[in-house]
Amino acid sequence: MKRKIKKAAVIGSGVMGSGIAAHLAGAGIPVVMLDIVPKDLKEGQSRSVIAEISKKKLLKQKPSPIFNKTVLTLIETGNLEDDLDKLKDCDWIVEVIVENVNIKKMLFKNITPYLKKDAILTSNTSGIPIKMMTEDFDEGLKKRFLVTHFFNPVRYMKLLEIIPGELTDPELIEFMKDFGENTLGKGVVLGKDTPNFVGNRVGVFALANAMRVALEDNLTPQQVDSVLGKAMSRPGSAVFGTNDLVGIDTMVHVVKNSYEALVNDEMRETFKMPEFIEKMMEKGLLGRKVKRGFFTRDKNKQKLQLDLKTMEYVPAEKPDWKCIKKAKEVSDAGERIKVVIGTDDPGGKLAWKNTAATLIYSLNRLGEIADDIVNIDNGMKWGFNWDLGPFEVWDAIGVKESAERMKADGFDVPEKLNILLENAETFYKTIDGDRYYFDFAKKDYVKVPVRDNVIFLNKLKATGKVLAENEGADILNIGDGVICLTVHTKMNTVDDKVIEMLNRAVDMVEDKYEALVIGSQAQHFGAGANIFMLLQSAQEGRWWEVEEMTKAFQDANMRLKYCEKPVVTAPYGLTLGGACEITMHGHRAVAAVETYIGLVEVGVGLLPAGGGTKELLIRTLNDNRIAADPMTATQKVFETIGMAKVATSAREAREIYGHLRPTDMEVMNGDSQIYYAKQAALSMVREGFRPRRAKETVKVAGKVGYTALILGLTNMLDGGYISEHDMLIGSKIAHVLTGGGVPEGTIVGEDRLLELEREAFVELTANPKSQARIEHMLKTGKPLRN
Amino acid sequence: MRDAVIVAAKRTPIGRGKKGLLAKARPDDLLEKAITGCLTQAGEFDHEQIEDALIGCAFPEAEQGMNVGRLACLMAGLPVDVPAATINRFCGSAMTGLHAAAHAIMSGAGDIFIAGGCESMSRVPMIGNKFSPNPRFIESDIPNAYVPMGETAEKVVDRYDDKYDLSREALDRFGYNSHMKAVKAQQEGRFKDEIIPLMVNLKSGEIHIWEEGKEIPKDFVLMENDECPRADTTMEVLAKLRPVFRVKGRCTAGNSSPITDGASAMILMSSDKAKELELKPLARVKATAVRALEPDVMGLGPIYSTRRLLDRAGLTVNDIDLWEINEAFSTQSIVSMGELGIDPSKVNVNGGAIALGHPLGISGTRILTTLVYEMIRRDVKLGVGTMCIGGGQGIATLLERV
Repeated sequence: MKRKIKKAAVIGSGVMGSGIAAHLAGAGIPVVMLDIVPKDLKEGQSRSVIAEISKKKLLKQKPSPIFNKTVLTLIETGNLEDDLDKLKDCDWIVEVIVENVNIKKMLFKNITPYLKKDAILTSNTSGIPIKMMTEDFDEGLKKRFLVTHFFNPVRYMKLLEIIPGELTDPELIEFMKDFGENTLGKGVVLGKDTPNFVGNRVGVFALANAMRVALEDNLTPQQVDSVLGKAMSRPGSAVFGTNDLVGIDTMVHVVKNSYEALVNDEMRETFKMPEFIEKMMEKGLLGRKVKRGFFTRDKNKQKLQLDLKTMEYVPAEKPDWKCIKKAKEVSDAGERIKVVIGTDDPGGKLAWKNTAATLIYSLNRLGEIADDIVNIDNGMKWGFNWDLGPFEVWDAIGVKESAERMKADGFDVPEKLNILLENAETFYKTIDGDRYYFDFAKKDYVKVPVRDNVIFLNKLKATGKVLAENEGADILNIGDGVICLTVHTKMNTVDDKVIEMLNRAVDMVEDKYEALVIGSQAQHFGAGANIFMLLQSAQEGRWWEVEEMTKAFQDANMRLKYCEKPVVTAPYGLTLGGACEITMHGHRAVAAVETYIGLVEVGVGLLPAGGGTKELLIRTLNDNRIAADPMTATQKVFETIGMAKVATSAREAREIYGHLRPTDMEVMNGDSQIYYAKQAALSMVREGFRPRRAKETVKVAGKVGYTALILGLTNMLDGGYISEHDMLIGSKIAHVLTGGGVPEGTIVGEDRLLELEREAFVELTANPKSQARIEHMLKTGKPLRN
Repeated sequence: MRDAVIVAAKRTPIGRGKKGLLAKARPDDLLEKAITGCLTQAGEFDHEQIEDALIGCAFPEAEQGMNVGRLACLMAGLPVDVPAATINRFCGSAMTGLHAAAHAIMSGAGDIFIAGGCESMSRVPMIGNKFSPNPRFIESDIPNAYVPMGETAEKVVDRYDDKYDLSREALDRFGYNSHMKAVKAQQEGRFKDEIIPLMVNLKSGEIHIWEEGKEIPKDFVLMENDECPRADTTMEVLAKLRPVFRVKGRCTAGNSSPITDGASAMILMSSDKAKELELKPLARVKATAVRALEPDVMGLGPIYSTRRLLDRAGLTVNDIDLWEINEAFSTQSIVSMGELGIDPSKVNVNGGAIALGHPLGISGTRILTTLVYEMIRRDVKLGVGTMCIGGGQGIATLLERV
């Protein structure tokens, strides 16, 4: 029988346990979350109070561990004394309790009698050897046991390490990998049962090494973090900031464990705790959670840093180093690293020392912690948010040159590197869009495995599937009669080139293809429209241009909506403004669950005028999301647009705001999004897609509704909640949403609403205060309240 | 002219809105209990003699729509030929019903009347279910009668900040005192005469009158007291609350009246009828008045209505022994008392709406009920109940012990 996880249990409801439960529930799996009965239980208190409180906390944590509060209905709480019965129909039980092998063993012993015969049992330990944990298990249970190691925060960190034990059933490993990837949307790294597994082993080394270099070279935390963050294509929290984020106590725990467990590690000394960390522990400087760590802020919110020698806080001055400036000019992650380590200044030296040590350390771990370089690279990318894994970095900086520099600088270059250099030049190579990695056992390149539900657009591009292209977007043939419009402007913003391609894509699909997918594979689906061009036209008073641009975008979106063939949009990441409007005009959306979608035009002093205002109103009213009069629906849409609400997940967009339809699809694993969008499009073809030909109409709230909205705005203005200009923008949005001064209940057509959108848009663009908002956004990336 | 006297006055406990004990209770059910309570208090008489029931409700729609007064009278078992009307003057609704009843009695248009009110702020929101303002109000300079109540409370500060201490601390102190007085009154059982204890099913909202000694059925809880007064509140706690109507406003949930649910009723008769039925009047309705003002400072309504009331009765402020001034907000209460020159120690001696709650449409008869029992307890002669009304009005009633 094929395995299935229909119900799961999480034991331990701390940050990780509740995070895992929340993510499982988000993936649609009912979860039982159990924790201990508190020792000092007060009278009248529930015996499951610990788990119950953890569940409640999920609503408040930031960033939110849940897609929408509705997922909480799938989490059932209980305690480990009264509720073990609840485990008996669970297909998967994951242990997330304290990192103490004896307590874990005791727990496993207690719960084993309650488990289904074929239940999967896993531990979320970050380092206790499987052998020790499973000592008392019978053989059958050993076959069903493995480590599933999630990273915090569970919802947002892509990495899931799967570590099988010696006896783990190979079929189960495959199953959990597939489950982790497709159902939970994680990136799975297969590791070996060694201390700290894969991500933490290399990641903690890189951090510990950087701290040592800081001491040796007399660098401040801020100096180190300014280099080893974005400039080196790593996360902005860099080294000391990451320590603060994770918590100094947690870090100490991990580093200490590493030192004790890694007896034979050639770099064991690196894991020796620096003195300043001990002092920090004594002083209670535990990082972000107590607001004092390597960094803190003074009363004036000025950033301070810890002087590692005196242990006093001093101003965190950013270094004025060449390498940082140069890095800012390079957009390619690998090129950037190369530039920084090649710069002759203290930052460049730090970057080089840390990189060289980490690359060598990673190569030495090959075979020990994982079988291939791909898993190690993925561990660092998905578990530590590095843009490139160590071996990808090595390729980027040149394997041969860097090996020579390492040797010259006295590093012990591993013998393995010679094997590579004797047979090839790089760790990876790409042939016909397919990626290959160097396999040290075979001494040859092996194709990086790709799941069969993944389509790589870059591969299609590399293999001549481009049907049309311009500076803004490509149209690709993704097979089976489906074409894909892929935007590739900066931040995927919409401009005239993109609009041109939207029209071309519709022309092409209507002419000789079956369906159109609009999607891409970057960081964001689209951050809005290109407001730079808009500002230029506005400041020079070329209103007709603004009007034309707006009309062109509206027309293109309407062509999507009324396309003769199915149009499936595939939003992910930031999907704002114009990108949201495109999404809303497709026939169906296949959204990554991590989609942050919203109509945010108010932030730049405008209103959605690519059809977004119209479409959200029509959807909210006509799709009967709110079974009430036009006023109630209009009020809701007004708030969503007026407050520039952005859904924090596709789930929220579907269930709360309406940027996505309740029937739109969610994909947990973004890598598979284009594949599923294509399948959705094809299924629409097979279902006998009928194009919409009659334009939609909507029953508006009219003048009375307008009055109600204006009175609401007036009240907010009087209360000091909004500015005069907010009021003006609000009144324009109200005017559009209520049908433009018609009596209540008037039926208004889409074209009229679009016309109202355009009028209001042009008027607002002409307003100096809106122009100031646009300018401010372009300069600072933040909205201006004026 | 004949005398109109109050012979019965009862009310339900007041529940905290949205999450309190009465949040699921229907306002028509609540009203029925209040009417039944009054009928029981009055004792046996031929109910066919009741001329009319005049019921106040601030938002007479949904559960409290469809002429809720008529519905509640039928549910209370009154004969089908007893009529009823629902009357709307926002917060002054129930008091307006009482005025109409008193006027009819005085002029010989009937002998026995029911007055009262019902309001579930949990079930019907404060602007009603469908806010449909007339566009002419934003197109011209017609005074904006749609102005929200919280804003009017802040506007009172704008206007009188120099004249009275309307500091955040003063407003909180006023709210704090209201709670302390109410808690003390509860502890001393001062509301016992007026409150009809209820048994409430929290799941279904079903309610029944509880009689002393009766066993509480499963799934029901006993509600004998108003739910909102807080014995544990402190000035520190109140100081921490955020302003709710303006970013830099002074009004908070702690110095404004809370959203609440409840019902109230009274029986009024001509003094001859009361004599005939051998009923002892609680008080006589000696004078009534209403007056209006600019909508955006509606909270000052008591000033104008009370002045008119006293003029009409030929009295001065100092002639009045006891006052009930409905505490919609600390701001308007402080300024109203100040402008009228009332001794605060005579006002709301058992706490006011900030502590007890202000279920809009019922408050007119609620404050008169509280007033009349305290007048009896203190054995004083004259008492005034007055209140402000959304849209910019005030209403006042003078009661006299007979």
